[in-house]
Amino acid sequence: MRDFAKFVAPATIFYVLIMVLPITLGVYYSLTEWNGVDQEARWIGIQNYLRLFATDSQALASFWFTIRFTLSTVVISNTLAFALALALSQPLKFRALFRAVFVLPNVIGGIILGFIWRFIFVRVFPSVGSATGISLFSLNWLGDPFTGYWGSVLVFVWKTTGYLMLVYMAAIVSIDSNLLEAAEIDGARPLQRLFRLIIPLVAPAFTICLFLSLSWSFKIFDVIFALTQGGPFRSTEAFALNIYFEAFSYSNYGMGAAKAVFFLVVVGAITLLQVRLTQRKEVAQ
Amino acid sequence: MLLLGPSLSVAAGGQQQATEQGEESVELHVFHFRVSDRAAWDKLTAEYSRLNPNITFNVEIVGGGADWITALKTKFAGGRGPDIFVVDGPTQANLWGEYLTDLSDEPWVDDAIDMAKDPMTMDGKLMGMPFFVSGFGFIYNEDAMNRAGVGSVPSTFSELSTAAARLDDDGTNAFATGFGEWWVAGMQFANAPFAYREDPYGFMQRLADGEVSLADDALFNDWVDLIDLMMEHGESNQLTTDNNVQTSLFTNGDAAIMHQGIWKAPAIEEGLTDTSIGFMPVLLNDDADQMDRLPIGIPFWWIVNAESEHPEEAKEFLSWLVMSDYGRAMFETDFNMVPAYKDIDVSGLGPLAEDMQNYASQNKTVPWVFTSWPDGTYREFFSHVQAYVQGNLSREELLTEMENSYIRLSE
Repeated sequence: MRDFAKFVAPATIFYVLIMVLPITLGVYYSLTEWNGVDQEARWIGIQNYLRLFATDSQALASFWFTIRFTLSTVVISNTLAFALALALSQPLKFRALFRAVFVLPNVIGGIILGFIWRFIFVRVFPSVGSATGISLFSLNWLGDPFTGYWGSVLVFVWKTTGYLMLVYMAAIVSIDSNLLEAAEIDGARPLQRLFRLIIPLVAPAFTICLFLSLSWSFKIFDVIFALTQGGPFRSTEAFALNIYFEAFSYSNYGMGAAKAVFFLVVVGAITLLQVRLTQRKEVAQ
Repeated sequence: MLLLGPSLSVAAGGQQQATEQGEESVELHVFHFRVSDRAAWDKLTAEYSRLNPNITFNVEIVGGGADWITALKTKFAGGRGPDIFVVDGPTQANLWGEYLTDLSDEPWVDDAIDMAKDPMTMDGKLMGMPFFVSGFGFIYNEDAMNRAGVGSVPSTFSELSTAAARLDDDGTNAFATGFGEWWVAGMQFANAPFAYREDPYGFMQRLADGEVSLADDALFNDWVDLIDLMMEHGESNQLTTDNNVQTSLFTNGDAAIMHQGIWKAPAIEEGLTDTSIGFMPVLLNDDADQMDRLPIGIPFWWIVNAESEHPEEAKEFLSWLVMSDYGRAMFETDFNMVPAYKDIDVSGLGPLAEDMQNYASQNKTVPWVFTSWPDGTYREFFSHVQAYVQGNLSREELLTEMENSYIRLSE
């Protein structure tokens, strides 16, 4: 028992310091009215939560944006990542190079990436558009809600796909090649091998990747902060951005904390549900 | 651009000498957002530490595209705030209320211009030290206007419309709008319909109390006319024209007029050599007399943190900044800014500074009222203006939305 405590203590201390304590403080501040600067925060009970659901239409719009954004990015990035992983686990020329290139965007920080893509959308695309006459480039990228939405999705997919690809690839190459050969000898066609064999066997990777991409997309902040600042007219204001603006631009720290607590509960519930569901599909090799 | 990070300048041997003289060694923590003044701050803190070996500095600069107000709040939330920091006006001064120090008895107070003291005077006490005077408005490219046959610099809205049409015929866009930059569209440009009137602060109070209707207000309708004019004679994709795009349109000669400020002078000089430029007021209507004013204000005030352990040292340093010959010379040589003090002479700051000083010396100014708006107003005004430019809001809806935001945020 003494040893148990010794081993667990370091992790527990850090967990309490960087997880439990901030969350507790967040819950406390969500029940107060505070501008973030005053030394006293005024206790107002659950009023922030009532206001959030009753009157804050921008928060609801932001929440709806986040849901749509998450659906798009999770589907697109996982499909792409799995396809790339399949392709790049074949014996291809320059395979290592391709792998590195696809993973690279994930290494760049979200803020820098957002600024780079902002430059590409706002400055490079119009030039390419006027030089080539391709209308896709001449669109008003980031300038209206539609292109703002898909621009954000594109950048986020570009950033996350490489990492998810690595996870899928690790799962694919660890499949016992005897199984694949046996299936081939038994006459299974490529698509049958994919759906009956490969996908069920890499189900644990789906659990991980869906979990990661879900929680990343829900909490999206840095890329959009640098890319669109939530614009035009707050149409791409993700919920995390809405929380940030509420707390710091509007100086409503209490309300911001209430939104953050609400968000924590929702994201926690959705990701837990997802892990439960996909884990059921996992099979033993 | 995003630039942040601490800049440390510790005078060599400072600590050691201090102990020899038996003085307590003090590190002053300074926080501001003037990223472009980093070199100037390295220079002046080194000089001050040479004169006062017991004083060292930790100068932290968060600015550019970074949100310095948030960064400052987190400094305070994380324990002791900086000894010296900046606020940008009355709304923020209220926020920091309990951290402000009374500076009314400092030696520089009599030298400071009145306009720089009024916004920071609370209950008769001066709570912040002004530093620069700054101005914004329509910056115009005179050469481009001459090429297009615009005879003289417009002084009314009608003349501005004519000029815009001429510029369009000549093949340049008249305007680089800046409708994609929150502090252009949501703050400085939105200052005009509030400020170009008698008693703007009274008007804002009545607006907050729900006693005026913006949709029925003449100046606000003039302002929307100006937006229409800029949309018609502006660049394409206006909602993504942030301040960088705006500036490059102007310096490339793709636009002849932009709503910007004196801080753009170095960038313009670099890109548009041998071109004459100047400031033109924000021309809302044809009342030439009322329009002939430039929005001139104080971008920030220095605050001595009331919880600082070294308030006397901080005050002494700030006084040195604006009272010593060394500090005063730096306005012209290093800061390239117009000082907010009567008897500091600066010259050679370029055409924009000259135009601004001309307007200021003739008292042809309107105030920067946006620093008195409630928190969150910039973001909402910005969002509404963008929705109008996109065509999602009508004129009446734009003005009603702005009114609703202002009332709600004032509560």
